[in-house]
Amino acid sequence: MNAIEMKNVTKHWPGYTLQDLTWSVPEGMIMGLVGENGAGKSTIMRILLGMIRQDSGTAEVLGQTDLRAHPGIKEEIGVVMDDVNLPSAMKMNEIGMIMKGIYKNWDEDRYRELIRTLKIPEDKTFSQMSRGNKMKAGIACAMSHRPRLLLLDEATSGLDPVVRDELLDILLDFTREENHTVLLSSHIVSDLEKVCDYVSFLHEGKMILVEEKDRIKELYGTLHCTAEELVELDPEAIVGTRTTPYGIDAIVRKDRIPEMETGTVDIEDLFVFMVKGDKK
Amino acid sequence: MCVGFIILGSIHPDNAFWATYGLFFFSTIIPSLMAVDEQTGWLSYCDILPLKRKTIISERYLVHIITSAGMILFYLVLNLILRKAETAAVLATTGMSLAMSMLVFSVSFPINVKFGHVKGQMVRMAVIMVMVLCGMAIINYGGPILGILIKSGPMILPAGAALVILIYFCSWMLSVRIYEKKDL
Repeated sequence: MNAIEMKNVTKHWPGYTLQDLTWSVPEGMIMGLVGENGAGKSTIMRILLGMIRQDSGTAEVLGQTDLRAHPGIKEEIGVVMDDVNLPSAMKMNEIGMIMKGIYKNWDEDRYRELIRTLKIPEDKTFSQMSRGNKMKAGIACAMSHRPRLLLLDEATSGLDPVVRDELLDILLDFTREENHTVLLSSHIVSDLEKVCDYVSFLHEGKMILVEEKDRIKELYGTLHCTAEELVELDPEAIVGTRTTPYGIDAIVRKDRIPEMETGTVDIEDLFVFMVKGDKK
Repeated sequence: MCVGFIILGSIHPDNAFWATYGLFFFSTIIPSLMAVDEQTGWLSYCDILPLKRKTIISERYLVHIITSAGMILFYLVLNLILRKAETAAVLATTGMSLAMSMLVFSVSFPINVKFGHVKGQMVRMAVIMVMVLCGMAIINYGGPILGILIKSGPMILPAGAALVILIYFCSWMLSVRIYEKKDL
C-alpha cells in the first residue's frame, strides 16, 4: 500500500510547470526528495496537503484525496514546511497548549521529551528563537500527535550537524513502526543518504529518477576516462559527464558496460550529473 | 484603546464621535489581525493543521461578535448605570454604532480574505474613509435620521436590524466561500 500516491498531477504557475507527475511513496518507507531550488518540492508538499489545488490529476494521502475538504486526515500527518510559522509571541509551553486543543491525539509527554531532546529554549518566544530553533519547534509540533506520515520540507536546513544527526535518529526511530512513513525533501543530500530507503530526483517539475537508495549504488557507477575512451562507450550507458583538466568524469549505468570497472557513486553526484552534466 | 474611546465618549456625551469610533475601530481590528496572521505565516501554518478553513473564518466572525458585544455592554454599563444617561439616546447611539460596525466588518473582511494583506490594504483604507464619513454623519445627523425612521413606522428598526444581520451572515458565507477556494 502507498502512503502517498500522485497520478498525472499537473500544476501551472507563471514560469513553472509541474508536469504530469505520477509518483508514489510506499507505506513504511523514508522517501528522500531531491531537487534544486524551484524544482517543485514545496509545490508537491502543498498539493498533497490541499494548500494549493492541482490543475489536473489526483493526489492521495493515506487513502484520502482533497485534504482541503477533508482536513481530519491531518490528525495522522505531521508537517514541517521550509518556513515554520508558529504564533510569534508564544513560548513553547503556550504553543503546546494550542496544539493540544487542535489535535485529538496530542501527546504532552512526547512534546516535552522532544523539547528536551532537541534542546529547544522554553524561555523564549517563537519570534526570539534562531532559525534552527524555530525549525526544531516545528519538528516537535509535527511529531507530538503521533502521526503515521511525516512530510518534512527542508526540515534539516538551518540545523547544526549534531542536531541534524539527532533528528535523523528520531526519523529512523519513527519508521520502526512498520506503517510509519516519511517524505523528506532536502538540499543536504548526505542527510537523505543516511536515512532514506528511496530517493526521488525532481528537476524543473519532472520526476527524473525514483529508485531504492541501495539500488542506485548497484545501477550507477563513476568512471574517469579520456574523451576518446568516452566515445567508445555505449551512449545509453552515459548518465552525465563533466570535463576536468585531468580528463572526463562520468556517471554511467553499470549494466550497460558490465566489462568496465567503475567507482561507487554518491547520490549528490548522481543528481548533479543528471541535472547539470553534459550528456554525450 | 477602544475602551479609552468609549470612556472619552461618556465624558463628552454631547459628542458621539468617541463612543461610536470605538466600535468602528473594533470592526477593523479583526481584518487587521487576519492580515498579521497572513503576514507572519500563521494562516498558512493553520492549513497544515486538522482544521477546516470554514472554522478559521467562522472563528474571526465569532471573535468580532463577542468583542463587539463586550464593548457595547461596557458602553451601556458606563452610561446607563454609572452615568445614568438618558436610555433612549444611549440605545440609539449604541444601536447605530453596532449596525455600522457590523456593516463595515461585513464589507472589509471578505475583501481582506479575497485580496490578502497587501492588495487588500488600499481597499481597507477606502472602507475606513467611508467608515469615518459615516461616523461624522451619525454625529451630525444621527438623531434627526433616527427620528424620521422611527416616525416612518414601528417595524423600521427591527427591519433595519434584520437587514444588518442578513448582510453580516452573507458576508460570513462569502468569506468562507472565498477562503475555501483560495490557494495558500
